[in-house]
Amino acid sequence: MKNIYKKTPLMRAVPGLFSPLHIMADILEGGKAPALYKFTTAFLPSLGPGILNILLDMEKHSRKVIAFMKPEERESLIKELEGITVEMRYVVKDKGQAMLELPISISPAEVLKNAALNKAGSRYNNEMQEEINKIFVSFIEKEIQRRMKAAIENFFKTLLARPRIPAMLKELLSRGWIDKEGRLAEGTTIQDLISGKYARVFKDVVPQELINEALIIKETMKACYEGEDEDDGSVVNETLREKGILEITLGEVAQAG
Amino acid sequence: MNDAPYLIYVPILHTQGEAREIIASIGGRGAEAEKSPAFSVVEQEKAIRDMWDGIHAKIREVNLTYTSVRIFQDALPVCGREERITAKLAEKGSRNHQLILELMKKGARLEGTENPDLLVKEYNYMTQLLEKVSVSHQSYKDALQEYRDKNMKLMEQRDAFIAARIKNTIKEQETPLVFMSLCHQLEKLLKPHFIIDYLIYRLPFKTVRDIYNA
Repeated sequence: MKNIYKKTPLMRAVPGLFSPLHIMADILEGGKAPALYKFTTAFLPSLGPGILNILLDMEKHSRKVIAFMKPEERESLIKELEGITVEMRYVVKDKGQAMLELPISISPAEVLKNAALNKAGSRYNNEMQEEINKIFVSFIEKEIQRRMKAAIENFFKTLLARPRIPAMLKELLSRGWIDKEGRLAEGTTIQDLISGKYARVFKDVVPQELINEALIIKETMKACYEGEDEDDGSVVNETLREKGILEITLGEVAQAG
Repeated sequence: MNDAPYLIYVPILHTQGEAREIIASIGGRGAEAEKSPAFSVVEQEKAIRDMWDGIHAKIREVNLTYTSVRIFQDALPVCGREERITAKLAEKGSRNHQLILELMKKGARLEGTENPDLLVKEYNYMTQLLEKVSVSHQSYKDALQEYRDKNMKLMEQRDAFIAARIKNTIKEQETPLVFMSLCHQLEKLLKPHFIIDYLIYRLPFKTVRDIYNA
């Protein structure tokens, strides 16, 4: 069976983290990318801290438990808890069907071991929150790529059904970049199509609107992702500007009233 | 065939220069305005100016009958002083409001768009947020989170009001021209009643010039 749990880059970079987050990387199906995009832009700011708060509570509580235990009792408890995991799931559903899932797997034995070290400060910092946000963005990207790929493959399929196959399509077939059903070669990404090694050939056969759409989606994702890193200064300036407009506007309204 | 009337939707962005003018007009300095490289980057200013030039050009291209255009503007309350507010903001350098005045000169009509009570609420939320900026980084972060949560709900109410306002005020043969900032999500409320023409692409603005001047 294919392993659908993926180690996040953060886990690789900071192996000491307890309560590791396991992400179901291939779960996204259902073709709801635009709704997901809108939902996520609203959802991301609060989701990260929500998960972090749960983990923080657990960390704090574990420290208390450890403080009142003799070392041998602690060792024994850790031993008993080895192999046990606590599973939590964040699920976004559309009419009862899961669109997006973020399962979190916590190992209590690991939690207690780390709490016993009693290190000052939390490891659930901004870096980890950013990591969670990145994971969500990657979910959305994945879904958009899937949809774009499906749109392109459908387009090829239609062309291949014609009595006379366009020359460029024959070239794609001969190079093995698409199969007779119009499916793209395994591992082909949207980036390959719009700006990578296939771009020159694809731009001759794929309608420009489709390429434009892909570019826009790509830029949107980039903007969405970069928006998360918005620096405080720009947020303050933007708020000040909006507030300035409202101050002038509401001042006029007050005079009228 | 869809017989729904057309609605022109223009997503808006402001230049840093405008932001400076407006912030200064309420006695603020802006966050690290002098230090921020964005304020000195001529290129970025130019990109947003180009964006507004692009909007001007696109509106000209559409060949509107201006007398049948009704303008709806983000943050413009229904108050009877819509034109005066627009003139004041245009005077402060807002390209958006300058364009509205220009269109009005050609015969377009400006419509109060937003519920004033909701704008007061928005103003109060912003004030609360900005008060936390100087306290500490953490308190600002917390306040920002709280603001975003509250604002999301408020934005839904604002959007519902705006959509109803457009729907109820627009008359037969008229074209609504809607200027809204990117945080609004009006489409799903307007789609059942109008065919939305974005005039320009709504989404990313990293390469503003490319999108508007395509």
